[in-house]
Amino acid sequence: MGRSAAKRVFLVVLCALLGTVWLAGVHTAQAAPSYTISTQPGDLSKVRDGDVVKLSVAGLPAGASVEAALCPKNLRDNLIRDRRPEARFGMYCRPVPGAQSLSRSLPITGGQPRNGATHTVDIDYPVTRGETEAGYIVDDPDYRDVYVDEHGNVVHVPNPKKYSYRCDEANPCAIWLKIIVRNADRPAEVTLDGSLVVAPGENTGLPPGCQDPVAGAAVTTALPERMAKSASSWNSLLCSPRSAPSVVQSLASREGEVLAGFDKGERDLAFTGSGTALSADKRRDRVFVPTALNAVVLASVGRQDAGADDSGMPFVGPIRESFKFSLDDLADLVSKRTRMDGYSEGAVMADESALVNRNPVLAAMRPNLRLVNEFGLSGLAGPDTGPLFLSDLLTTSASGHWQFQPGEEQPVPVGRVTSYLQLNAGMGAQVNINTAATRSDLREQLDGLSQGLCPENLPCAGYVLTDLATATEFGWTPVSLPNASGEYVAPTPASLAAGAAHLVDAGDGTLRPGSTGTDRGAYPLTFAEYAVAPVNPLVDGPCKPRTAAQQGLSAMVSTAVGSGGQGALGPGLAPLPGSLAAVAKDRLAKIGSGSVADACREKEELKNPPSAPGAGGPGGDSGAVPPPGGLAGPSAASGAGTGAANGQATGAPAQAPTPASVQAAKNLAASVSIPPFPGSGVLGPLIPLLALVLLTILPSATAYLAAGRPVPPWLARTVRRLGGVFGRIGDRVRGGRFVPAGGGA
Amino acid sequence: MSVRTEGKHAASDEERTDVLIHELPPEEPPEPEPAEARFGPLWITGVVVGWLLTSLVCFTVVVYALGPMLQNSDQRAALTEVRGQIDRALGETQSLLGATAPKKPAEFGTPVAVMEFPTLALHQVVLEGVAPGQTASGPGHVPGTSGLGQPGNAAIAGRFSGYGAPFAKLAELRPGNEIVIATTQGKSVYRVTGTAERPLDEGEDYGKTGDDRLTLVTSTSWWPLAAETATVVTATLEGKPFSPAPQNGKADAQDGRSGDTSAWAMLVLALGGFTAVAVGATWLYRRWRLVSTYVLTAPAMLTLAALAAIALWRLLPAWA
Repeated sequence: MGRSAAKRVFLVVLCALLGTVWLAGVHTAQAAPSYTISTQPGDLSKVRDGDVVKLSVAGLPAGASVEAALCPKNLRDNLIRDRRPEARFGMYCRPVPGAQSLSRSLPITGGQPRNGATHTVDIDYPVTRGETEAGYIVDDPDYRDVYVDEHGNVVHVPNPKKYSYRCDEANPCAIWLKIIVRNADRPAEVTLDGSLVVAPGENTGLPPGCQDPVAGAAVTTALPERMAKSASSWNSLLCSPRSAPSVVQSLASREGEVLAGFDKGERDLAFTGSGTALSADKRRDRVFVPTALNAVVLASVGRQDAGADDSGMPFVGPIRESFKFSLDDLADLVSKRTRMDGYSEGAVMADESALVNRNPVLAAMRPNLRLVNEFGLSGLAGPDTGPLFLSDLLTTSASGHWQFQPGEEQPVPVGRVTSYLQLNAGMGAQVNINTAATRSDLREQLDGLSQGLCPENLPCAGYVLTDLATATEFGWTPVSLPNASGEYVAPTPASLAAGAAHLVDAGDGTLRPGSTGTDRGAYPLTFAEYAVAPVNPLVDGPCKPRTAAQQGLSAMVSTAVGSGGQGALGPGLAPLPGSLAAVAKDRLAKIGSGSVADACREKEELKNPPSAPGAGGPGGDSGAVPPPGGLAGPSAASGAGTGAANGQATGAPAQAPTPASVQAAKNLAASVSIPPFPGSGVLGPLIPLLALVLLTILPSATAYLAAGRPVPPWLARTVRRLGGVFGRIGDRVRGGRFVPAGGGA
Repeated sequence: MSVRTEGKHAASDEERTDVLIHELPPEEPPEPEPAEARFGPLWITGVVVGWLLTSLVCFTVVVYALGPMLQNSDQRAALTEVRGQIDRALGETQSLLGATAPKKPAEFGTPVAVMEFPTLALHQVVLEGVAPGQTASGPGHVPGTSGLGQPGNAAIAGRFSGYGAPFAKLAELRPGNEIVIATTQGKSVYRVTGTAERPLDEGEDYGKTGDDRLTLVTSTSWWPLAAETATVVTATLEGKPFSPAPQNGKADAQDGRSGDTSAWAMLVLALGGFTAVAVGATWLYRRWRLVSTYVLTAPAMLTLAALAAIALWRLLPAWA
């Protein structure tokens, strides 16, 4: 009995153990595949509208794919029939577009496959803040006009609601990942992961944790959009730690407008890459402080073969290969884009051209897709450092190709341009550059390239003339350009640092790109981004020093060039090399070093238009706002001077009316006073009065006399007496014995 | 000598009468009655000469004595209008959309700018067009030339002697003198580069130039028919011009020195009316009472004389 009992207990325990092991095995077999999700940036709590979050899922088995969708943090659960999470994911979420094409408007179809080489699934998520509308909802009675209920009845709902949800700081959402593992011998395993919570903030330019800037005390700053992230980071270093008011009040705009605002004294601080070359008015005393390295780039956008999935099937992804363009290729593409497509004879994109032979990724594309027609080359409109330095380089190093040739006419040299709009002027009705007014517009154009003109799942390419910071921020891949040694160099922090060693004096306290000599690692279009600060102290309207703003200005620039600021540069910007950092520190002391009296005098002087005829710089068309989209003809190239009404092209570019200029005109008109009567003194009104009397009497008197009527006696007597009086007065005046009447005998 | 008797009754020769005899002062000779003129060749000549002189005096008085007052009145109205235009332009530049560029040229006769000559202490509102009727109100912007303050050659013509003679002292401008122009786009400063007296050359003075300039034109003579020699002042723009705006085209006659032939009709009507009223007044003065005739005919003659003078002046060169 005892033995039997022990045996039974043993068997029970054994069964329990076996059962546990089996259950564990079954559970393990059915559990979700182990994987890891990494994001860049790592902290999703601070993402803002417009940011791009890079998602990477690793550790998935072969054949896995991932779909991403933006969903409410808590998935709604109101479907009538299929209430599984997968069904709710399909109904209440909006697929994250752009994973494959980098187009924000092109949804993923079928999920993003695992890359057979890297064993990861990579997805770019462009953050969008605000209301999001879900896809097609079928079984939710609250949001469907017709549905079949659980009893099989067809129900009609008049005016059904639209389902949408908000994503912002107060309404967090989640990026849900649908991980699909396909198995050959059993149904695909689907796992839903909603762990990536995002609460997109508004992209106000105000750093997180800072209060709104205080008017008067904040430093009014104008900066090209490419510097916005860096400036925000520097500002954040100053105000975030103490939750203080923002030190700067920023306005991101086109570079020409940025400098125009500083030139006129409307901004305390500005940023530029080209000193005074784009300034229309150079009278304001200024100091240039280098803050970072940047580069003019031609970036490629589109799709290339991104690898093969685990089954060996190729799939496409954003272009990551840095194409190699010679300067001749670049000059031809930019100055004669319409003749450079893959089907034009002798074009840079044609089969067997030097460019195509040099770049296998281009060679693998269909000829017509190597430069997507019509929208194949984009750039920002308006005066900018980019066109200035690019045209200088091509003028000196590719002059034989840096020529307009719209038709069969003789080529015309392009020379120096300060705005990409000017590259359209030399092409008659044809358009070289599809220009955009802002970076957002530019990005939309390039999204359109991928969406509408690149055929689905085929490699294709378009190009954008921009800077390295913008290209990096938006995920565009810069091409490699040859430097003076002939080496093709891509813009990287290392090549920028090497290029900085070859910058030359621009003559205004700044440096511009120079020959890179034999340096094989230098990128040829490297330039320094400068903070432009006034030498004279900041003063307010009544000409009192703005002490707080002056301190903020110095702190902002000091932070930018300090180690903290150099470590917080925006994407794509490279820190200053030692020589430039030393220059920057020297120049910090000059900010605000002038006298208040000089500042006041300068402030008054800036109210008037510049007096020197040569004050206008090549970028003086900053006020002219070209139409977005930039299908601009010759007239849009306002930087080249404007035509007068009588058809004469004059040398000086025109300026648009501004509040200050019209106010000056108003002041003049207000100061003018026209009296009712001309002349001064009593003669003013007397002369017209006497004239009226004469006109009243003379015709009637003539008519009276013409009638043959005698002169009335009273009139004759009056005339005689008046004649006598005037006669006596005349006698006395002539005799020097004039005595006033009553003056005594 | 006259004898006067005083008494209660006249006495006969037989009766003794107390008679007082006073010696009265001698009477003055009566004033001769004014004689009416006798009609004849001399009278007719006198009447014709008298009316010609009257017409000449009226013409002169209207233009040279009343003209400045009329011009001042037009200038005041134009100044009010151009101030309103600038106010609206300022509002536009301060709006979210910014200033809107004009899409059509200014209408003839409307003010386009305020002009200041600091050295001459002179302000004038510039109107669009250089027909005599427009230059009677102020200096006129020559159609077909660039807008004031805008790229290219902008030309203005003004009167030398009539209607306030705004450009009478133009020849006193010297190189370096400032000319300031205020338009709806802003304030522009021109600096005089030269003053010349020479025949007007439309191709040179109103044509294309390689720089942004202002050309001022007026007559050199007080003689109203002078149309050949001009005082031409050129000034170059300092700083950048404002964006070009559409301008009116220029007809041959719009050169500042041509008359307005359309004024013939007005002249014929006004002069005809004046002649009729003058004849009627002459007849009435001969037949009717002086004061009544005056009250009845003087206003009509005044009005018609002024209209005739204005019409006649419009036939003469616009810069006179």
